Amino acid sequence: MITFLELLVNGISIGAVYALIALGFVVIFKATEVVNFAHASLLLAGGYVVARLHPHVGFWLALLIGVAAAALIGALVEFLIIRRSKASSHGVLAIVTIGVDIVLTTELTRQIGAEVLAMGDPWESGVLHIGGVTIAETRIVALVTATVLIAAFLLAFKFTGWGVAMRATAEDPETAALMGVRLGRVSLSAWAVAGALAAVAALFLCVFPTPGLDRSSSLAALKAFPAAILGGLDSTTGALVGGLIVGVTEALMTGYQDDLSFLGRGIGDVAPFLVMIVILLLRPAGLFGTKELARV
Amino acid sequence: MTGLRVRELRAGYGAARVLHGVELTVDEGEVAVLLGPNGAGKTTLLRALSGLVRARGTAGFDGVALLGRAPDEIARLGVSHVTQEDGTFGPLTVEENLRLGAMARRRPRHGVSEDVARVFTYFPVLQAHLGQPAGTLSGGEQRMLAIGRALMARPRLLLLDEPTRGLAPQAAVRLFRVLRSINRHERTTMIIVEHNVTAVELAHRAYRVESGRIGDLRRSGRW
Ligand SMILES: Nc1ncnc2c1ncn2[C@@H]1O[C@H](COP(=O)(O)OP(=O)(O)OP(=O)(O)O)[C@@H](O)[C@H]1O
Ligand SMILES: [Mg+2]
Repeated sequence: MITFLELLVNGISIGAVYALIALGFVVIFKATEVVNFAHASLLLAGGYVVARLHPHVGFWLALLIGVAAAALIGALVEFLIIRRSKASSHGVLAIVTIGVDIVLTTELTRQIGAEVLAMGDPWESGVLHIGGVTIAETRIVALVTATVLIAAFLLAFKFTGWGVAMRATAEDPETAALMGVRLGRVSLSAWAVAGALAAVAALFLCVFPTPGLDRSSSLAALKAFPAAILGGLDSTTGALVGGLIVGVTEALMTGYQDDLSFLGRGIGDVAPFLVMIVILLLRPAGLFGTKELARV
Repeated sequence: MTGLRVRELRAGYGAARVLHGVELTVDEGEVAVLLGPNGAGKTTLLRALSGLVRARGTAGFDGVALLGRAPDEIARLGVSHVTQEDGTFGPLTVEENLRLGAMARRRPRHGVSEDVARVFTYFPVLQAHLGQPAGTLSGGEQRMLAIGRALMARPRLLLLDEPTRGLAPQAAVRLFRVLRSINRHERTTMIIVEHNVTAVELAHRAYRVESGRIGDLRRSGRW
């Protein structure tokens, strides 16, 4: 029972981090109808900046710069690539983002090499004991941070002029433009917000119990894809629920790996994708989505 | 002279040419009605003026050239376009739709509640539905929302594409009265595309569009 609770809390925590990534993915899709396959590389870039800078400027400033850098890279991808190719179809743009991903990831993995870079976070390997349940401090911080960021995002999405403009653009860009909404700014801000959220997620994917940022760190980010897709690509609620489903499934499958050995080794890593496939078979648009991926 | 001056306007879709040199004059504070058969190019003309369709020629509004600008920029110049499809945002509430209308203004957040109240004086039914998703309104109510939302921009030129389409005859007459009242009270210049010929009664000018060309109905004495 204790094991189960520990796994569940860890799963929810990592799920909240996946939700941060998936949320950015969904925001980009809503604002521009582009499936951003470069998302994992934005995340890796943000994490890389934090890892490289913290020995020089301290953790908090490094984090701030890492978040800003990922936001900037996201904005640059939008401004230099997505915006210039307005004429092409969304399917073509999705393939363009695969190219961006390959370029960014290749360069970053070359820079990282065989190293494992510490993130320099103040929580290190501290653990908390709550009624017999042992949880890493990083997991608690991740959960709280992700919850606060997601809540702030949803409130802004619901109540600010930016959020209303974003939702209107997602619904009908032509009419939004007739309202005076600057579509370019909406799209730019979506990419920047997504980059910033991904950088925060990068931090929590690379802290304890993970040894640090290495060249495979972007693989962890890939689990946010099934999270976004199973929740529904155009649904913010879907991103949150999808993130939690993937996080909890992964944690439980990994935790009970030995009891599940008939399913093969590494079931925790493939489980999110299996869950996604099952859900898409039952609901092609995802749990909360309205658009099928086939339309993209 | 302030108002709209359209000269030699040509537009089309790809290789298909739809408008072949349209001339149109609407002075400030006037209502112009555009009649004409299906496929004549009326919608295309409005879309060219609001920047949704690329066009050649000139269109000056209060001395500012409209053609070649993006739709959001034209909206911020004071031109509001209520399209033939209304374009209300279904999942957004009536209130959010109205707030969006104000985004084209120089100060989008300033005086929004006063303007919403002013929209209610023209379209009182909207008040009861303020917090409701626009998609749940009836077709007629959505039309009122689309026009009310355009008013939120405090437009100086209002383009209306078949505002009475699908309305019962009584409702159409009522809407024409509201439009006349808006024109009088707000001094809003209007171009109204209509199939309903009673629209001419509220017009200062009436034009007929046919096969991409335009004729002045009043001047030709055909009306
Ligand atoms: N997106 C488009 N692509 C290609 N051709 C178009 C497009 N929209 C309109 N057309 C063509 O342009 C011509 C003029 O259409 P338009 O919609 O301007 O007519 P209209 O006068 O508004 O007609 P209605 O009274 O039926 O609304 C038509 O022949 C139509 O088929
Ligand atoms: Mg038309």
